[in-house]
Amino acid sequence: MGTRELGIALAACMYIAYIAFVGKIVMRLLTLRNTSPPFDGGTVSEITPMTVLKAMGDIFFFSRLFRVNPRLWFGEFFFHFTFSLVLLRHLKYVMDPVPVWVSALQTPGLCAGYLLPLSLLFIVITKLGIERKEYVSSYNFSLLGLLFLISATGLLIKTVIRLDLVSIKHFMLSVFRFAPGVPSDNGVFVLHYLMAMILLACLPTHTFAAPFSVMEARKREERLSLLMHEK
Amino acid sequence: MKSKNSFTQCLSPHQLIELDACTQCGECLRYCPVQEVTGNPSISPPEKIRMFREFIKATSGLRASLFGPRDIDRKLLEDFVKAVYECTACGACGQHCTVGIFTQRLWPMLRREMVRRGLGPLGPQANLSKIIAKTGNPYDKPADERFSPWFPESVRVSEKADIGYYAGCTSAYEAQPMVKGDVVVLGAAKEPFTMLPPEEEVCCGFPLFITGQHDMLEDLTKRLVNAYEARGVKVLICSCPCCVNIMARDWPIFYGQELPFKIRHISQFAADALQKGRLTIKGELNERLIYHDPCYLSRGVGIIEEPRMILRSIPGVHLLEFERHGLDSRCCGAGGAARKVFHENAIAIGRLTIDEAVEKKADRLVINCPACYAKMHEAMQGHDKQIRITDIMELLGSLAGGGTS
Repeated sequence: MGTRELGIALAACMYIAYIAFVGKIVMRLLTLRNTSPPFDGGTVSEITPMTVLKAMGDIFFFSRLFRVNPRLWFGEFFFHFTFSLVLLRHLKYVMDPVPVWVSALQTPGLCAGYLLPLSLLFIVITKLGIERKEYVSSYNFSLLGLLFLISATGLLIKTVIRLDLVSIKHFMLSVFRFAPGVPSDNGVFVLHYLMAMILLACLPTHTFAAPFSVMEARKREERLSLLMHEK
Repeated sequence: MKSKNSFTQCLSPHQLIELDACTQCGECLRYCPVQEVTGNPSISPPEKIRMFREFIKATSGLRASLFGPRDIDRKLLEDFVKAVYECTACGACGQHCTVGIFTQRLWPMLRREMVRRGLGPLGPQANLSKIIAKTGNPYDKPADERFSPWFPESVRVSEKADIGYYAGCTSAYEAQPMVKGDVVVLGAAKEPFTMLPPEEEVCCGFPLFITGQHDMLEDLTKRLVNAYEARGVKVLICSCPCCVNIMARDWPIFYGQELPFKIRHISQFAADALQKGRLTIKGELNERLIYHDPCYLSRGVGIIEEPRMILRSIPGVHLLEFERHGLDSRCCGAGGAARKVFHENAIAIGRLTIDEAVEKKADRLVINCPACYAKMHEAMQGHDKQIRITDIMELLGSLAGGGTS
């Protein structure tokens, strides 16, 4: 076991990561004050439940990406799906008691944990190896690398190192109760934890903005035919 | 309290969210005409967005709020200005954007911010306001040459009518067979229509809007809308996609309320007249035609089927399609007012369309936009591939006659 000082340091990292995460969102909201009234010319029409339903499909199934690049869609959808399952699986470390639905997700979440690094590799191979993209975002690839390392260390903890998960849960709950306990001092666990905090602090803004943008795109596309045509 | 230094002044909240939404996936590069001819990713859509995000961060980010705004690297700013003005604003990137960013609208607003900072527009674009204020058009041409060189004597214009016709500056000065075809078709349909006198038919505002110069837009819009309203117009018809786009999308904003008339494209009028028998086609045309969708007509206002319906109604015509057509159409190179500043790009982009039309063994390339018309003709000069280029109304006008009903 590690020391209380390590626990305080890891807890501080989490608080800083959350502050950075929330601060980023707050700053974005504050920046909205400096914008102009909407200048999105075009006929305003009522939004039907069908439009909302289609937009939800666009958001959750990445249908716009599918239309443009089905191969990349496969990798991205696979990644987001497995990553979501892994995240949900991790809720058991911060919830007490553990809800039934979180318990039910443990096995699918574990399977997703094995597939997650494969999906990341698939994306990288598609972009760099198969499609040889001329435009590559270094930020995106840094995030992919970080995610790969997080998922790889997570798998190591689960399969090779086999840490005492009960003590990890106690530590996580203590952090959320602002009374940090003593964490495991296993290097792989500390690395996994710190990298997850870095990811939280550096979470790309498109994670929150893209669903709004996709929703607006669906509404705009449905309105297009009404601009110059009778209903 | 709004910060004057902020780079978000000209953006709507939705556009600010769109900037954040870009995932930098780079999928749009495959559809960008400027990328096709320059192969320069540093002026690509995601790169423009990345640079603009840097500007926002430097002036409105957390650090800027706590310790004051940072100076922006001059080189980065210059690179951005070049990138945003080199763009043809065709909107193909937005059409294929994996998160649905409305780039056909976003780029002009980013240009507007550059104008606000005195960094844009570029080259001849900078004189547009003065020229339009002086002559009423962006070509510095006298008003008395607006209609007289091409207007057919046989066509009558009413003083007042339900239908108004706006020729548009590019059409009237640079694509005269096109506007001649428009009025021939209007005349053949025997539908009374009115026009403004040449000195009153001023610029619709699109060249100013697309280059980010908004100061005169309200005045131009109100002058035109009030003049057409005074002539009893219920439907205003125009053939220029850029004019139609700003009329349908933005005139209500500059006018301050809903327009007192509808905006329709000439191909809508012609397709309707053909369907209802007010217009008939005399003779046939045994040719393979290929139709080029103008960006601001297809992606801009959703006019895709009507031009095809017109062409299919001509006996003998075999209609071909470009690989990219309809909402996915490729820019002709003339868009975004970039053709006067980045001439070589425009010519190279135009030749991509010409080459594909020739490869598909089309006899004729049918155009539906004065900017496309002028640029495609220019692109053909000195090019090894040649094809006959005709405007859709020029073609219809040569074949049309009045109906019986």
